[in-house]
Amino acid sequence: MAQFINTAFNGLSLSSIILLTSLGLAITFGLMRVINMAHGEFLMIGAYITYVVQTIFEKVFPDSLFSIYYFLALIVAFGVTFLLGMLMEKFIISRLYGREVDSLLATWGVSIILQQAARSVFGMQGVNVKAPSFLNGGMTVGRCTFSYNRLFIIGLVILCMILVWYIMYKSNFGKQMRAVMQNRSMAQCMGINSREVDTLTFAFGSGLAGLAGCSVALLGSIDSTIGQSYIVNSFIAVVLGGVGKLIGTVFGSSIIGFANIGIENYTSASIAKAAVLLLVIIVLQFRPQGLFAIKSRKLDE
Amino acid sequence: MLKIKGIDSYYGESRIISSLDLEFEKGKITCLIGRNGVGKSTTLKSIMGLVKTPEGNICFDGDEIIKIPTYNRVKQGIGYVPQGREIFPQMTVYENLMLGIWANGGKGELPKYIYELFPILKRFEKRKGGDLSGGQQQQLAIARALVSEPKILILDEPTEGIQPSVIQDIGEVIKKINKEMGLTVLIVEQYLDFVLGISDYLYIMEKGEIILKGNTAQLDSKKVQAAMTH
Repeated sequence: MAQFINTAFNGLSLSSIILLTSLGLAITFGLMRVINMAHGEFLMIGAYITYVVQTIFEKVFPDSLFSIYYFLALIVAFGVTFLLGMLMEKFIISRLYGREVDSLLATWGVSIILQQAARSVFGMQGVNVKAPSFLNGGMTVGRCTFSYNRLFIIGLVILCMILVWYIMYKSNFGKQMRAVMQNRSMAQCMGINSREVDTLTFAFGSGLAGLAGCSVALLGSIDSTIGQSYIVNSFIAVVLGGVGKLIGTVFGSSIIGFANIGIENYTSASIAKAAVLLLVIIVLQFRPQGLFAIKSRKLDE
Repeated sequence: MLKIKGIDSYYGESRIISSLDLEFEKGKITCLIGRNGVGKSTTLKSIMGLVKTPEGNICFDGDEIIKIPTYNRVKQGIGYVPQGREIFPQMTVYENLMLGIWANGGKGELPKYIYELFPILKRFEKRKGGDLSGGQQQQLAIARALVSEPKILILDEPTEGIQPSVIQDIGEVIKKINKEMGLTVLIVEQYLDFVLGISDYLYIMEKGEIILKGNTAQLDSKKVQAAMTH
């Protein structure tokens, strides 16, 4: 029993991490259909920002204040990647709308530049973030231990989901955003400045990547390839769930997360990865649009 | 009210319209008719800024608008009901209507008369736009354009694929908003009976040029018929 609960918790934890790293992608790739190869690097930037903020706190502020560095890091990571996303949309992506291959190449270029920049600044060696003290240890229930670290990430994911849901479905900006993504020229004909909406939407997706970077910084060492190691699962989660549907990304991430851990339990990590990929291929064979495809009645006379 | 002078319009690289002149008078219902593919919809898209118009002038209410982006033209008071209606299928009827508010600065409420004009929309307020029938979508598209309180309403084939009784309703509504609110209306249409029943002024287009124009009441309906069918 204890082992089962542990496995389930690990599955939930992995799912939440994949979901967190996929949320931004669900917006830039899922909604906007921009394949941003540098999305993983925004995540990397978020992680490095956590490290930088932590280092500054260590040097400048007294120890008693150390733990709050993490909350500041979350805000700074979101802000910086939001701004970077904005610049990238304005200067690169917006010039390449409708030219998918070109934008794929251009953003790949950005990805390589950012990785090299990270190596130049922080060195080849990975750096480690000290988790704030309240995240050390874990909660023990019976014979199972749930680390605070992972519980915190699950909480953060739920918070981010609520934020994204609110912005997309309840706020005025979200309504404009959905209108532009569903029908660009008609949205313009409703008086919506679609250029501005594009820029802000892309920036928002990038900011979420930065936030995700902040949380993966808690899980292991940070180096220039950290983005690459998370981004593949994220792309798979978005595609599996169905491009353009937020709920699809939630399910996509959960399936990948739980399947990975579940299979790994009985076999090995590499077999689990292969099995999950196989599962995804089979699902996409039968549902090429993903699990949650958008259905609509377009012309029905 | 709206004056087009010498515009060229392009779809990608191919020129659809060359040096076209048109004028739409305030408070009138003007129809632009012609057979398939003569450039009627392109003319409307040129007014909206949805196609490339490197040459010419479009003067709206005294302002030159050919250089400004679509969303700002809408803000100046042009309401557009496109061909195929282009409802946002994933949004509710209410959300679709509220989008029209942006052109008005993003504040305010839905004007009451919208639901009086189209009672069906009140009933289906919470349904997804994509789940409505063609006729209902057409009414929604017109209502949505009216929400932004335009000075001129532009409709592209409002009767296309719609059953006759609904066509009649739509015709009544257009006449009503023209008479009671003094809204200038511009309609592109192929359905001749509808056009003759509703318009004050007619333009007949062929191969991107105007071949016949005049007050509907004074035009020889045989000539009009001939231009549409030969």
